[in-house]
Formats: sequence, structure tokens, C-alpha cells
Amino acid sequence: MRELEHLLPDLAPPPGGLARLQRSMHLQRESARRHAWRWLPATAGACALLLLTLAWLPGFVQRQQRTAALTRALRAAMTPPSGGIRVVDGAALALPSGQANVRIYLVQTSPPPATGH
Amino acid sequence: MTLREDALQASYRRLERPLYNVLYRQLWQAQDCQDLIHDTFMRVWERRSKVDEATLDALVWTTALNLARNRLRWRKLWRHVPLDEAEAMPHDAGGGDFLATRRLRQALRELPPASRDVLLLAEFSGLRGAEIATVLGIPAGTVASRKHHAMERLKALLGEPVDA
Repeated sequence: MRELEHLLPDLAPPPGGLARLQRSMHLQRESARRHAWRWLPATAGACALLLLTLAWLPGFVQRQQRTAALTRALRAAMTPPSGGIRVVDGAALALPSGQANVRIYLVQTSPPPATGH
Repeated sequence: MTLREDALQASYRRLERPLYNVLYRQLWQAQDCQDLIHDTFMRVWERRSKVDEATLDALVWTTALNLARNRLRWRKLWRHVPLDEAEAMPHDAGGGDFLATRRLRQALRELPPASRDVLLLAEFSGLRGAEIATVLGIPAGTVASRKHHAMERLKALLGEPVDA
């Protein structure tokens, strides 16, 4: 028995309050789920991109290194020796090339000295 | 420490009626009260990961009273005058005597808000003095004295015989 029951009568709340709360909670859950799914394509795309990058990167680095080594080798091969080209143990015969900036030589090595008799 | 959905709904079933009775004597509008109760539980649900079920009811009361204070402040700020429902109150809900309801409303409004909260919680919440003190954030000893003063003042304002 309340002390002020005659002054403050007990009122019944309007019906449907709990159902409304349950609906709101359901909607909030759905909204959170949709929110999570909305990020899925972007996340999947980012993951795929990362995997592709990881798969492609070692090959790219290897190709770059090989190209650099080849370039170094070609440059070394094309650089003439500091003292000019000399033919050792043989003879070089200049041939007509037909072009001013192209020279053709016929190089023949000397046969090895005969041994024995 | 995560609040379960069924625990929140059980709390709603337990507290809806007392909350409505307390809030109605502050807002005097059924729809506002229902909205506020709904908002209170949704707010608690949004913070469910930090809510201890052992103190759930106290948290609901604290949240509801804070929201009611905000609503009253908002009304005062915007000079919002709610539609008086006294005439529309059903007879069995105590609305039959329009003048008595109006006088009661006026008398409650004249009480200091802190005393009014104590009085309404003591009347409807079913909480003990120490629990009311926790909900309102006041010392436990203050609850009894505030309740006594509020009751005497209310009776005086309504022309009821006051205890000696």
C-alpha cells in the first residue's frame, strides 16, 4: 500500500511499448548487419589487390635485377679496351664493309706451334 | 559483462509501469512518456557491452530521469507547452476529476525537482532508500528527509491533513 495512493493513482502505460522496443532492437541489428555487409566488397577488393601485388612483386623485382645485369654486361661488352683492339697470336685483315661507320675484320689465329719432331 | 537481449526485455516488463507513473508526473504527456521509456531502453541497449545486468534497473532509472530532465529543459528553452492531457485521461486512470488532477500537477511542479524525484521514486519504483540514493547520486540519509519534506509539502499544497 503506497502512502500517496489516493493522490497519485497507479496509471497503466499505453499498450505496445515492448513490441516497439523489440522492433527497434531488430531494426538496429539489421542495420548493423547491413553496415557490415556494405564493407564486404571493398574489403574483398582490397584483399584481392594485396594478394595480386604480393604475387606480382617478386617477379617484377627479379625481372628488374636481370635487366640491370644484362645492361651492365652489354655495356661492358661494348666498351672498347683502353689500349685499343690488339690481335694476339693471329692476324687481322680489314675487309670492305660498304658503310663508313662499320668496320669488318677477318681475324685468324696462328696455328699452335708444332710439338715433337 | 554484456547485456543480454532477454535481460533487457525482462527489465522492460518489470519497469515499464513504474517508469511510466514516475515520468507521467513529470512530463504529463502519455506519448512523451512512452517515447522516453523507449529511448531509455534503446540507449542502454546501445551501451550493452558495458552494462552489468546486476545494476541494470538502477541504470535504467538513472537514464530515464536524465532524459526526462533534458526533455523538461528543452520544453522550457523552446517555450514548448505540451497538450494538456488531463481532460483526455481516462476516468479509471485518475483523470475523472479534472480539477484535482490540475491541482496535483501544480503542486508537484512547486516541489523542488530533487525532492519530487525522491517522492515519485519512493512511491512507484519499489526501490529501497539506498537504491534511490544510488539512482539519484545522493547520500542515503538524504532520501528519507527529502521524501518526508516533499510529502508534507505536497499534502499542504493540496490541503490534505499533514502529519504532526
